[in-house]
Amino acid sequence: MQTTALYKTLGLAFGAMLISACASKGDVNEGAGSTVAPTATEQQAEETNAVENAGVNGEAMEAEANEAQAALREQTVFYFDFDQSTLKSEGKAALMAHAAFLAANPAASVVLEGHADERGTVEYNLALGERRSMTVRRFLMANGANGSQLKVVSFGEERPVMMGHDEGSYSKNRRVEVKYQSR
Amino acid sequence: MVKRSLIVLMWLFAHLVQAELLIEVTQGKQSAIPVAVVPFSWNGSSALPEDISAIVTNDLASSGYFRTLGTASMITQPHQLNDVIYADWSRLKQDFVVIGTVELQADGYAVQFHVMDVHQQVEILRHRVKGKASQLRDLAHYISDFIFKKLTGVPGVFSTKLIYVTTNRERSRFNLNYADADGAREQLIYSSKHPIISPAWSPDAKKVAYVSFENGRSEIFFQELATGKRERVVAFDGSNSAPAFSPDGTRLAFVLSKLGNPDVYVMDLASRKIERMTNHYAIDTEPQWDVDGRHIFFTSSRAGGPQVYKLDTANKQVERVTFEGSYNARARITADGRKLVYVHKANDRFHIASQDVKSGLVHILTSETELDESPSVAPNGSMVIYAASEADRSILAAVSVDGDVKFRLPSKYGDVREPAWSPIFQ
Amino acid sequence: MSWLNPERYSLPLVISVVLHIVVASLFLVEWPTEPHVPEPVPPHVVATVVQVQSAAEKQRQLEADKQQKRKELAARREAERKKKLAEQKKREAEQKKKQAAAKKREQEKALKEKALAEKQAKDKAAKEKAAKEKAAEQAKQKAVQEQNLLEQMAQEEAAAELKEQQEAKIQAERAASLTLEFTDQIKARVESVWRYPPAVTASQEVEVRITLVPTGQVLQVQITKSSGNTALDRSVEQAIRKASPLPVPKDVRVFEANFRSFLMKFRPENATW
Repeated sequence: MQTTALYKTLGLAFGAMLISACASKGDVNEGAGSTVAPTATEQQAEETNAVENAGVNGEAMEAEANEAQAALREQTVFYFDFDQSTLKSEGKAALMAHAAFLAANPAASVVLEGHADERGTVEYNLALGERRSMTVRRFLMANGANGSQLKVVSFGEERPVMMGHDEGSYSKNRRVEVKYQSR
Repeated sequence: MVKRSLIVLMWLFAHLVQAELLIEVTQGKQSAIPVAVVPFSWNGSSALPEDISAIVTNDLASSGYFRTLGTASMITQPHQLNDVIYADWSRLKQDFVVIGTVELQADGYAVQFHVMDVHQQVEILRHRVKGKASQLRDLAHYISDFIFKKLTGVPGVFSTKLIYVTTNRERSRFNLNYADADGAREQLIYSSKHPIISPAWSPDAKKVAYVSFENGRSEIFFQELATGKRERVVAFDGSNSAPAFSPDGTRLAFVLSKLGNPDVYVMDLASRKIERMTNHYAIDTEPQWDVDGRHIFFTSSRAGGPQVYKLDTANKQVERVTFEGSYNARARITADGRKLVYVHKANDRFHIASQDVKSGLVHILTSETELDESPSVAPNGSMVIYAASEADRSILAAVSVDGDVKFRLPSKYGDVREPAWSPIFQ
Repeated sequence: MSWLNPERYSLPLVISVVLHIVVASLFLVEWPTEPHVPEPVPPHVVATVVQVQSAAEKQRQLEADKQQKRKELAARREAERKKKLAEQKKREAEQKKKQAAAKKREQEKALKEKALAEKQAKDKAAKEKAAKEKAAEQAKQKAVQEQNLLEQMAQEEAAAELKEQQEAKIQAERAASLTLEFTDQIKARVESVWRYPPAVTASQEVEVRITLVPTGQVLQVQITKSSGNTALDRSVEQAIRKASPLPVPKDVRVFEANFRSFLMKFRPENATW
């Protein structure tokens, strides 16, 4: 009797672990938490729906999905806070789309160009830009892209997009640009 | 009788024991020394290609340690020692007077100059130099160095050079330039469509190292100044940047991110073997050798924000050096090892600060400019040149290490960035 | 270091000592009040000599008479013989008589003179003795007077010295406060014009000796201890010349004692190189 109960408990525990593992699959080490899981499940749900409805509007839905994905991939610039290389939540959806695309297209590759605003020193900003690119790289890898598809380069503060000395310009310069090398 | 003689003796003794009066003076001013450089006489018919006394005047004034007198204020303009009327210069409140003559000779020019101490009314320096027509500016700077050294005890840096990067607004063209310390005789030594950053002088002043993005990412190049010959020296995976020569010129410190994180490395230039110095997940960058050739100052974000640390290359031990404020980076040590100059953030503004190595006391040197970066210390430890923002341009500015004198360097176009001050040429 | 070097205390010291010795000796050595040379005193045995002499003379007289009588007898005998010779002899006798009388007279005179002289001498001696005694008495009195005077002077001197000491003490205190006041003024004046070069540290020190004239004008600046930094040394020399004339006290004694020549140490404690 006791061994049976033990097996049941273990089985329950094992099952719970499986579920929780699945749930946190899409989570990146930035500790964003809750927002990621729904996205993953959303995507899964989407795909499930697509599969389920394949018979009815399969092609239409796929086209719509692809469009949505492509739309997301329109965003190729991702922003950061001052002296930070933490990904902001608003960019994650788009990055996921890129990751998915890269995962689906092993021949495709991107250069992740990291940048910083002009404040602070040149070399430190070069390293900061690289950090930011590395953050994006890890995220993409965690979401299906292969490391060999992801090249990292930093330009520090050397290639700003906005020349002003105000926060408006600065916030636009603290970025990583995803540049596709081949499609 | 005995009593009387005793009194006499005591009186005598009292006179003997009385000490000479000693007055202690402990406060003075370290303000600019007033010096008048009288225009040198010239025995030629046509104008000289260079105005030597004007260059000397400008050199001494720009150092911040001298306040020069305008020629319009000079009561007399003597050229010979006998013509110097000390009372005139004393009335003008000058401490020193420089007079000189320029003579045309068969093979060039001969310049003779004298420096007089106005208060002690005596000549303290006399020298004669010769040079070709093309060397007139160099002669003038040599004279400035001579006078500076005599009057301050510190070697002059007027014959040194600067290298710096200029770029246009659009960031589509990057030039590496070389000029005199006063900004004259600018020459282009490398031009590129891609960014050039972190120029650094070798200790023998024969070559410069810099980071170029010409191959799509940061790589370290050496360029020989005399020949223009270039060599790609450090090009590993990831980022290669922040080159710094050791004081004896045999090693190069730099930053690699080939393992996914920027760390400080040292390369033996003879064997080209590299050795990793820092091993930390934080950003470690901007290495700069200490004068002992054994320790390296560098910037690290291991405490959260960037701070300056010191690394012992012998045992890789690291100790923190800056403790004030949340952002301290790009340290440069003065030639005598007494002061550390770096970029310091205070109240959301970036300034250049100097820290006394022994006491740890921090002194903010710049106040009029806000986005200060890339400080480079003059090889005599007296001045710091750096890049600052003015209006919508980046310019070069200079400040004395005690923060007293500030001025801007003339810049013709675009943004001037990343100055590097040459060593004193031997 | 020459004896005549005005900056040393050797010469004044010597002069001072000599002066003190001279003054002290003046009070300590006894000087006589009047020139006094006593006359030699003749012996007191005068009376006895007179008596001895009259007895001898009486004897001589008796013998002379005897001789005379004999001679007269002989002469008479002879005279009878020879009248001529007698006369001669008479004459001779008369002569002899005369001579004898003269002699007698002389002797009497001598005796008289002697007696007189002796009396005079005696009187004189007595007088001198009296005078001497008087003088001695006077001298004794004078000595006593002198003694009293000396004691009085000693007392006065002691009182004067005490006063002098007190005055000297007051003077010294005044001189000290004056010196302090002007030291501060000089220090402030020099500090206001001292401009030191860059690259000096707070531990570097220059010592100079300054020589002034009573107006405060700087006569000479001499570096006694260099800092090792010639530019710093020069800045110190310049500062002193620029600060000239220095504020100095008008009191000549205080000036000479402290401000004619003095030392200054310069240390740039507020240097930031």
